Amino acid sequence: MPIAQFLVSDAVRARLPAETRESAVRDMVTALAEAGKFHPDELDDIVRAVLRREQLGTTGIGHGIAIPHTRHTSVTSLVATCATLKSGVSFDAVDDKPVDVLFLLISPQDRPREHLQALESVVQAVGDAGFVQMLRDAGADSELAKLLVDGPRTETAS
Amino acid sequence: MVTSGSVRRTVIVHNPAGLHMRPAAAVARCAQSFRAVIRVSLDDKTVDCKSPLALITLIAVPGSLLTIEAEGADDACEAADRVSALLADPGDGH
Repeated sequence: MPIAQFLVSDAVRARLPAETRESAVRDMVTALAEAGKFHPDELDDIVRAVLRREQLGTTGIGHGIAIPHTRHTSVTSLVATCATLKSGVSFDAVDDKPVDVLFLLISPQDRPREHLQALESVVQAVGDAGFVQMLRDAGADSELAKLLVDGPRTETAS
Repeated sequence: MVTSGSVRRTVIVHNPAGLHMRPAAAVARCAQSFRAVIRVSLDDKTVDCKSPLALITLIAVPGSLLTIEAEGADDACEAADRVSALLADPGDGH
Protein backbone atom coordinates (compact mmCIF):
# COMPACT_ATOMS: atom_id res chain seq x y z
CA MET A 1 0.00 0.00 0.00
CA PRO A 2 1.72 3.27 -1.03
CA ILE A 3 2.12 5.84 1.71
CA ALA A 4 0.21 8.27 -0.51
CA GLN A 5 -2.89 6.14 -0.01
CA PHE A 6 -3.21 6.94 3.69
CA LEU A 7 -1.06 10.04 4.18
CA VAL A 8 -2.91 13.30 4.85
CA SER A 9 -0.68 15.61 2.82
CA ASP A 10 -2.18 18.76 4.34
CA ALA A 11 -1.09 17.57 7.78
CA VAL A 12 2.56 16.96 6.94
CA ARG A 13 4.91 19.23 8.89
CA ALA A 14 8.61 19.86 8.23
CA ARG A 15 11.07 21.06 10.85
CA LEU A 16 8.63 21.31 13.74
CA PRO A 17 10.20 23.10 16.70
CA ALA A 18 8.74 20.57 19.18
CA GLU A 19 11.13 19.84 22.03
CA THR A 20 9.46 16.88 23.66
CA ARG A 21 7.81 13.65 22.59
CA GLU A 22 4.52 14.92 23.95
CA SER A 23 4.59 18.22 22.09
CA ALA A 24 5.63 16.52 18.84
CA VAL A 25 2.67 14.16 19.10
CA ARG A 26 0.30 17.00 20.00
CA ASP A 27 1.51 19.07 17.03
CA MET A 28 0.94 16.17 14.65
CA VAL A 29 -2.52 15.35 16.00
CA THR A 30 -3.36 19.07 15.77
CA ALA A 31 -2.25 19.06 12.14
CA LEU A 32 -4.66 16.19 11.41
CA ALA A 33 -7.47 18.04 13.19
CA GLU A 34 -6.73 21.16 11.15
CA ALA A 35 -6.93 19.02 8.03
CA GLY A 36 -10.45 18.09 9.08
CA LYS A 37 -9.76 14.43 9.83
CA PHE A 38 -11.67 14.47 13.11
CA HIS A 39 -13.54 16.90 15.30
CA PRO A 40 -11.25 19.23 17.30
CA ASP A 41 -13.02 18.07 20.48
CA GLU A 42 -11.35 14.69 19.97
CA LEU A 43 -7.83 16.13 19.90
CA ASP A 44 -6.95 15.78 23.57
CA ASP A 45 -8.29 12.25 23.78
CA ILE A 46 -6.33 11.18 20.72
CA VAL A 47 -3.12 12.69 22.08
CA ARG A 48 -3.70 10.87 25.37
CA ALA A 49 -4.31 7.60 23.54
CA VAL A 50 -1.11 7.94 21.51
CA LEU A 51 0.96 8.73 24.58
CA ARG A 52 -0.67 5.86 26.51
CA ARG A 53 0.39 3.56 23.72
CA GLU A 54 3.96 4.87 24.04
CA GLN A 55 3.92 3.93 27.70
CA LEU A 56 3.21 0.32 26.74
CA GLY A 57 6.32 0.23 24.61
CA THR A 58 8.27 2.74 22.56
CA THR A 59 7.49 3.19 18.89
CA GLY A 60 10.99 4.57 18.41
CA ILE A 61 12.29 1.95 16.03
CA GLY A 62 15.81 3.33 15.82
CA HIS A 63 17.82 5.62 13.57
CA GLY A 64 15.82 8.64 14.70
CA ILE A 65 12.46 7.31 13.52
CA ALA A 66 9.27 6.74 15.50
CA ILE A 67 5.82 5.52 14.50
CA PRO A 68 3.47 6.69 17.26
CA HIS A 69 -0.05 5.37 16.73
CA THR A 70 -3.39 4.53 18.25
CA ARG A 71 -6.78 3.13 17.38
CA HIS A 72 -9.55 5.65 17.97
CA THR A 73 -13.29 5.84 17.43
CA SER A 74 -13.05 9.31 15.90
CA VAL A 75 -11.80 8.01 12.54
CA THR A 76 -13.58 5.69 10.14
CA SER A 77 -10.53 5.02 8.03
CA LEU A 78 -6.83 5.15 8.73
CA VAL A 79 -5.31 8.64 8.74
CA ALA A 80 -1.64 9.34 8.97
CA THR A 81 0.83 12.15 8.84
CA CYS A 82 4.54 12.66 8.96
CA ALA A 83 6.64 15.28 10.67
CA THR A 84 10.30 16.05 10.91
CA LEU A 85 11.64 17.97 13.88
CA LYS A 86 14.21 20.75 14.04
CA SER A 87 16.01 18.76 16.69
CA GLY A 88 15.59 15.25 18.00
CA VAL A 89 13.46 14.42 21.01
CA SER A 90 13.73 11.54 23.42
CA PHE A 91 11.44 8.64 22.61
CA ASP A 92 13.14 5.95 24.69
CA ALA A 93 13.88 4.47 21.29
CA VAL A 94 15.34 1.00 20.92
CA ASP A 95 18.76 2.47 20.12
CA ASP A 96 18.44 5.35 22.61
CA LYS A 97 18.88 7.87 19.79
CA PRO A 98 16.72 10.99 19.69
CA VAL A 99 13.85 10.95 17.21
CA ASP A 100 13.40 13.57 14.52
CA VAL A 101 11.29 11.75 11.93
CA LEU A 102 7.82 10.68 12.99
CA PHE A 103 4.94 8.92 11.30
CA LEU A 104 1.66 9.17 13.22
CA LEU A 105 -1.03 6.60 12.43
CA ILE A 106 -4.59 6.80 13.73
CA SER A 107 -6.67 3.74 12.86
CA PRO A 108 -10.33 2.93 13.28
CA GLN A 109 -11.21 0.17 15.71
CA ASP A 110 -11.36 -3.34 14.29
CA ARG A 111 -9.55 -2.73 11.00
CA PRO A 112 -6.29 -4.60 11.65
CA ARG A 113 -5.31 -5.18 8.02
CA GLU A 114 -5.31 -1.48 7.19
CA HIS A 115 -3.20 -0.65 10.21
CA LEU A 116 -0.71 -3.44 9.51
CA GLN A 117 -0.44 -2.46 5.85
CA ALA A 118 0.27 1.14 6.78
CA LEU A 119 2.88 0.07 9.34
CA GLU A 120 4.51 -2.12 6.73
CA SER A 121 4.53 0.74 4.20
CA VAL A 122 6.24 3.04 6.68
CA VAL A 123 8.74 0.40 7.78
CA GLN A 124 9.68 -0.33 4.17
CA ALA A 125 10.04 3.36 3.32
CA VAL A 126 12.23 4.23 6.30
CA GLY A 127 14.44 1.25 5.55
CA ASP A 128 15.88 3.44 2.82
CA ALA A 129 18.40 5.62 4.65
CA GLY A 130 18.79 7.91 1.66
CA PHE A 131 15.05 8.52 1.58
CA VAL A 132 14.97 9.29 5.28
CA GLN A 133 17.77 11.80 4.84
CA MET A 134 15.79 13.49 2.09
CA LEU A 135 12.86 13.74 4.48
CA ARG A 136 15.09 15.36 7.08
CA ASP A 137 16.46 17.79 4.51
CA ALA A 138 13.02 18.98 3.36
CA GLY A 139 12.61 22.58 4.42
CA ALA A 140 8.92 23.08 3.68
CA ASP A 141 5.75 21.14 4.45
CA SER A 142 4.90 20.86 0.76
CA GLU A 143 8.36 19.55 -0.09
CA LEU A 144 8.14 16.91 2.64
CA ALA A 145 4.66 15.90 1.52
CA LYS A 146 5.78 15.53 -2.09
CA LEU A 147 8.69 13.33 -1.08
CA LEU A 148 6.34 11.07 0.84
CA VAL A 149 3.78 10.87 -1.94
CA ASP A 150 6.48 10.11 -4.51
CA GLY A 151 8.01 7.52 -2.20
CA PRO A 152 11.56 6.20 -2.10
CA ARG A 153 13.29 5.93 -5.44
CA THR A 154 13.58 2.34 -6.55
CA GLU A 155 16.24 2.55 -9.24
CA THR A 156 19.59 1.12 -8.22
CA ALA A 157 22.67 3.27 -8.16
CA SER A 158 24.94 2.82 -11.17
CA MET B 1 12.14 -28.13 2.97
CA VAL B 2 12.65 -29.20 6.55
CA THR B 3 16.37 -29.74 7.03
CA SER B 4 17.67 -32.18 9.60
CA GLY B 5 17.88 -30.61 13.04
CA SER B 6 15.25 -27.99 12.26
CA VAL B 7 12.06 -27.72 14.23
CA ARG B 8 8.85 -26.58 12.64
CA ARG B 9 5.60 -25.31 14.18
CA THR B 10 2.49 -23.75 12.72
CA VAL B 11 0.21 -21.38 14.59
CA ILE B 12 -2.73 -19.15 13.91
CA VAL B 13 -2.61 -15.47 14.85
CA HIS B 14 -5.26 -14.86 17.51
CA ASN B 15 -4.45 -11.30 18.43
CA PRO B 16 -7.47 -9.33 17.16
CA ALA B 17 -5.12 -6.60 15.94
CA GLY B 18 -2.80 -9.07 14.26
CA LEU B 19 0.98 -9.12 14.56
CA HIS B 20 1.39 -5.39 15.11
CA MET B 21 4.23 -3.45 16.64
CA ARG B 22 3.85 -4.51 20.27
CA PRO B 23 3.52 -8.27 19.77
CA ALA B 24 6.18 -8.15 17.05
CA ALA B 25 8.57 -6.53 19.51
CA ALA B 26 7.77 -9.16 22.15
CA VAL B 27 8.23 -12.03 19.71
CA ALA B 28 11.54 -10.64 18.45
CA ARG B 29 12.81 -10.07 21.99
CA CYS B 30 11.97 -13.67 22.84
CA ALA B 31 13.61 -14.97 19.66
CA GLN B 32 16.77 -12.97 20.36
CA SER B 33 17.28 -14.88 23.61
CA PHE B 34 17.95 -18.09 21.65
CA ARG B 35 21.01 -19.14 19.70
CA ALA B 36 18.96 -20.91 17.04
CA VAL B 37 18.17 -19.28 13.72
CA ILE B 38 14.43 -18.69 13.76
CA ARG B 39 12.32 -17.84 10.73
CA VAL B 40 8.62 -17.10 10.43
CA SER B 41 6.68 -17.52 7.20
CA LEU B 42 3.28 -16.37 6.03
CA ASP B 43 2.31 -17.70 2.60
CA ASP B 44 5.41 -17.17 0.46
CA LYS B 45 7.10 -14.59 2.67
CA THR B 46 9.76 -15.62 5.20
CA VAL B 47 11.41 -13.27 7.67
CA ASP B 48 13.95 -13.34 10.46
CA CYS B 49 12.05 -13.74 13.73
CA LYS B 50 14.69 -11.75 15.61
CA SER B 51 13.80 -8.58 13.71
CA PRO B 52 10.66 -6.82 14.98
CA LEU B 53 10.47 -4.72 11.83
CA ALA B 54 10.75 -7.78 9.60
CA LEU B 55 7.89 -9.42 11.51
CA ILE B 56 5.74 -6.35 10.87
CA THR B 57 6.30 -6.72 7.15
CA LEU B 58 4.47 -10.06 7.23
CA ILE B 59 1.19 -8.14 7.64
CA ALA B 60 -0.10 -11.06 9.72
CA VAL B 61 -3.76 -10.24 10.27
CA PRO B 62 -5.92 -12.24 12.72
CA GLY B 63 -6.42 -15.75 11.41
CA SER B 64 -3.12 -15.82 9.54
CA LEU B 65 -1.39 -19.20 9.49
CA LEU B 66 2.26 -18.75 10.42
CA THR B 67 5.02 -21.32 10.05
CA ILE B 68 7.92 -21.11 12.47
CA GLU B 69 11.19 -22.86 11.73
CA ALA B 70 14.09 -22.95 14.17
CA GLU B 71 17.45 -24.58 13.55
CA GLY B 72 21.16 -24.38 14.02
CA ALA B 73 21.48 -24.75 17.79
CA ASP B 74 20.39 -27.10 20.52
CA ASP B 75 17.83 -24.61 21.78
CA ALA B 76 15.90 -24.76 18.50
CA CYS B 77 13.05 -26.78 19.97
CA GLU B 78 12.53 -24.49 22.93
CA ALA B 79 12.89 -21.48 20.64
CA ALA B 80 10.21 -22.76 18.30
CA ASP B 81 7.86 -23.51 21.20
CA ARG B 82 8.31 -20.16 22.96
CA VAL B 83 8.05 -18.08 19.81
CA SER B 84 5.03 -20.02 18.61
CA ALA B 85 3.24 -19.45 21.89
CA LEU B 86 3.80 -15.71 21.62
CA LEU B 87 2.70 -15.57 18.00
CA ALA B 88 -0.53 -17.36 18.88
CA ASP B 89 -1.15 -15.21 21.97
CA PRO B 90 -4.44 -13.29 21.76
CA GLY B 91 -2.84 -10.35 23.54
CA ASP B 92 -4.37 -7.97 26.02
CA GLY B 93 -6.35 -5.78 23.66
CA HIS B 94 -3.76 -3.03 23.25
